[in-house]
Amino acid sequence: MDARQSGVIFKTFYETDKAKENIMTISKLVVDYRLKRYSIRAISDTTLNLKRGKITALVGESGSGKSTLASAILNCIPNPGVIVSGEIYFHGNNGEKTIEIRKLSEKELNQYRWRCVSMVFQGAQSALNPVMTIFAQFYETMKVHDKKTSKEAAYKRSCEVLKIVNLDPDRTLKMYAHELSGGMKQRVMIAFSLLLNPDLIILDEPTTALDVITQDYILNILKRINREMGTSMLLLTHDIAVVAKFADYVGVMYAGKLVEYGDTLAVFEKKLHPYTAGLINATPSLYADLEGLKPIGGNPPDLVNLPKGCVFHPRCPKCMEVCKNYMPPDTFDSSGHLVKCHLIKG
Amino acid sequence: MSQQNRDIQQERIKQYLTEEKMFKRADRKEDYSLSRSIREISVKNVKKGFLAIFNMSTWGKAVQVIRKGGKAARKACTNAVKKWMVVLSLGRAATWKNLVIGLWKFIKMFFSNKKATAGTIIMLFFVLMALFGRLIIPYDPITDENNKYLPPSTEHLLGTDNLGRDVLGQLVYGSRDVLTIALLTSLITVFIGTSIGMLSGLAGGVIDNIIQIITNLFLSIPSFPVLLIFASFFTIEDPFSFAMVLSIWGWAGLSRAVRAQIVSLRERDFIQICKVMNLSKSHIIFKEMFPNIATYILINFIVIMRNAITGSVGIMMMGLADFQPSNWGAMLLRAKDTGAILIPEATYFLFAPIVAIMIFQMGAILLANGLDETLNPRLRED
Amino acid sequence: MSSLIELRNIDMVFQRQGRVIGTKRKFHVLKNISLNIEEGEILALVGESGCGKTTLGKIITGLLRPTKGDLLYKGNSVYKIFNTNYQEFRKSVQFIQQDSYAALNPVRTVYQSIAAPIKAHNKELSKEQVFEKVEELLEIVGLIPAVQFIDKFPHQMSGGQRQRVLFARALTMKPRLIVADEPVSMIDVSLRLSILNLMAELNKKLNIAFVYITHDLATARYIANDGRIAVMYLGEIMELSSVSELLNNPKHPYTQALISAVPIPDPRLARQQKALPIKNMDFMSMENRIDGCPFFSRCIYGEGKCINRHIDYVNAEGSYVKCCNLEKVKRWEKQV
Repeated sequence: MDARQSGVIFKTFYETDKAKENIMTISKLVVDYRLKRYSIRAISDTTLNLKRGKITALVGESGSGKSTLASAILNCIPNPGVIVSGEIYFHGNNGEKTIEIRKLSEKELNQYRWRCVSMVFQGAQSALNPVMTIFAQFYETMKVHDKKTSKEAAYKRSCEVLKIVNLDPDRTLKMYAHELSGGMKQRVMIAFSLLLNPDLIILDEPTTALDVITQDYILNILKRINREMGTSMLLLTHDIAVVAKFADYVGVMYAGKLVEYGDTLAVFEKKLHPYTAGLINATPSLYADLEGLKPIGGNPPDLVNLPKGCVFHPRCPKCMEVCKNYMPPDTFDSSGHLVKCHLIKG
Repeated sequence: MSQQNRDIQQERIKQYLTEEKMFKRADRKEDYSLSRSIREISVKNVKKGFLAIFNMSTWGKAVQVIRKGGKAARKACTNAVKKWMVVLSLGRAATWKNLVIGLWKFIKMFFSNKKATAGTIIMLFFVLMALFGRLIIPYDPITDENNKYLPPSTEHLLGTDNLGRDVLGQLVYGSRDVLTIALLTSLITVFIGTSIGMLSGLAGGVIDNIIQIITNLFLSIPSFPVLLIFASFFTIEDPFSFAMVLSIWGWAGLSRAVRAQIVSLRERDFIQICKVMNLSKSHIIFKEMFPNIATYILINFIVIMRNAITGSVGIMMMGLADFQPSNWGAMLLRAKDTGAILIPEATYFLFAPIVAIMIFQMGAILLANGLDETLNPRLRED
Repeated sequence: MSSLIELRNIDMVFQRQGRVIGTKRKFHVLKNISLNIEEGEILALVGESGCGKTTLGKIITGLLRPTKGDLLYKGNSVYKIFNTNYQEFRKSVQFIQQDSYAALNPVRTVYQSIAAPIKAHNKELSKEQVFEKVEELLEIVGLIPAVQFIDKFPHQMSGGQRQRVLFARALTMKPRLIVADEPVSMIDVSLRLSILNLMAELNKKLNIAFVYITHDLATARYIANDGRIAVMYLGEIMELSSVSELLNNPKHPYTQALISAVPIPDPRLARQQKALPIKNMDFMSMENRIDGCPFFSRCIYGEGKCINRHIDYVNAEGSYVKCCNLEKVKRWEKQV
């Protein structure tokens, strides 16, 4: 059942130096949604490294492209979306063998999904099958991946994962989806994603529909999983307070581009990109000063007609002439902190 | 917000507080003409225009009425059409400019759908045939025993019937009555079905339950046998009574669907807030709910026309309608009675009305589907 | 001077079809709520989803009638049969829904949506006057220039713009109180503050009271800065006090748990937050309520005396708290 032990069979491997500390490298990814009359560029030229054993968070609002990125990693972007160019490399937990997602065959993809990378979806209400018990769904997934799975082995594994998320296995496995509360359903989904012991878990807004106390509880569970089992995590959210509390690295996305990336403390302290600064200044908190808070002016980006030059320039308070005409280059810091802005010179 | 906008906002807030009378600004005139609502049309004119359409019994008379009514009636009709375009959200706005743009978008999308175009052409063909066909292909009721069951020739394009009359001429002559019956049935059925459905959906409670039981009754008893019974009781002499008979049983399905839509609309947020804002019930029904179901009703209109034709032809075939012999159903009746099925030369006589009905049905279905696809955003492939 | 709106012992029970035909399930959504809202104040109603805050908002607006209890507007009961100032109550209390897309008729332009109540209540206005009034309202809520938005349909506008249209529509009735049900939860984070600023502006300049329903304590603090916060749990108000008092010295165990669970957008401070003071994650459902404190099963200070009896409000240092064991609750230490 374990991806590392059962020896997932992949055919082609790559050599890269990034494999030492990263579990996944996304390189110059471009994703389009091709409609009849026009096409929308959901992700443009994004390069991102996910460090092994750490929690990386991606912050973005509507239209930033983070959900598309999650689907791209699993190579299941819904029609009419298509990956135009770029590569996604998965280095695995030992870093010895690297595979490229787009080049995987159907069979290899089926092994890759859920064993190497799994996902917890937004809104757990619709992700569970309403006519099957929880155990039936767990068993079905395990059987699909390994036909020789026996019912006892499946039951044992289900109990293991449910204990990790603090649910009582004897009671929960017999229940149906509608008998569970929102928080319990989300915990079942997290357990579901842990079934085959993946190396990377993607969490798409895992706590948006939940209340604050359940959110805190679930995020603490996720942190514990990360520390104890070494599972890397990619957390997609729009709430920067959650990011501040739980993520080790944070990336900020706007209109399909990664505009800032770095260590959480560094990003929050330096606030290099104006969008990051704007987001932090626009989030009220419980105790901090209320005086400096200001919303970001303008409207959300129109993905059909992206502005020329820097995508953020219509709303940027520090917009200069060069921002209106030229795309800002990627500027890297010594510590690997990435910023995409004309204000910051390398 | 920019400083200039902020100043405007503050000024407006002050006005709101002191309830200053609005000062008229001269430069506002062009803004008014651009954004004038269709409510400019007074209700009286709309009614006149509508009644003019309802009063006619054939399409030909309608044109005469409008011509006689003069400029006012014509303007009322165009205004009524405009208003209904908005109600059906085809025009999509309250200004001339937006109306034209919306109509053009609709036409472009509609006619890019090949099936819809085909459907429209077929229906248009039949409408024209009903209106003007008699001028092109005359109908000669004189019987000529010697010429019976002639094959198609240049003189008789579809041959002749058992009494030597031109088949094509009969087809064309009969199309007017057939279409009139279909149209009238549709109008009456839609009116009854919508009213009952809306009453049932809005009233709720006991009234809703009673009406639903009655509707169930009408739905579970098959309509055609009942129609035959009714037709044999009431004498059918003109298209109107024919339409009444056909619609007695047909309203049930539409009323059930309309009720479902109304019940779901009732709980929607924008209807709930009308209660908070103390808007009258008639406003809620006619101005908020009705435009949302108008598209559905229009499509049902066309579907019911289709069912009406089948029903009317069936009744006529059974000989229950005293009618002129040129009607399609009457043609089939005579074909059946005179044993045309057994006579090979009479094939054209027998099949002409059947094929005509088939083509009409197909046209109606294609048109209805095309309208549904264009107006219903969920079905579009975009 | 009576307060603008007074709720007295409001009880709300919903009945649904039971699992077996013939039985009914009872959901006791609100239990014994008493609340005062003064003119021009902002009251934030905070609670998790499903605690009954939307139902309470609808009762205040008059959309729902409680099974028990009374609602007084300016001292007069609204539910009296021959009530002469029912119309005045209707106009003075308006409602803003959470989902701005569902709250607007999709086949009506902004002009038609806003003009409808104006025309219905001011029949003597001419068309030009109605147009100017709509323009004025749109500019008050910040949609400038108004003519750009007048002929738009709801699906052609962004979420923030639609929410402003909802505010404009509520202002047509010249209300004294607006109940806003989670107005910013469906809007992008970067635009939330502009809507909250608009609400604060309307409150200060036009003296309109607000009931701000939310699950987010941080935005409640932002908007209700000199107002009050009421914390709800499972249909009962657990604590009611001024904002500063609630945040610096929360008395009820549930409030303390809530505050410790809210994430802080500052990484250094966030990592120092302590663990949740909650016993377990089992919820009591609204269906089979037992007498006593609804928070008992999760409260770390819960004792035998917390259940099976009626619990009264205790006035402690200026806040109203519904807790019988208040002496044992530790004083809250602010972590930042």
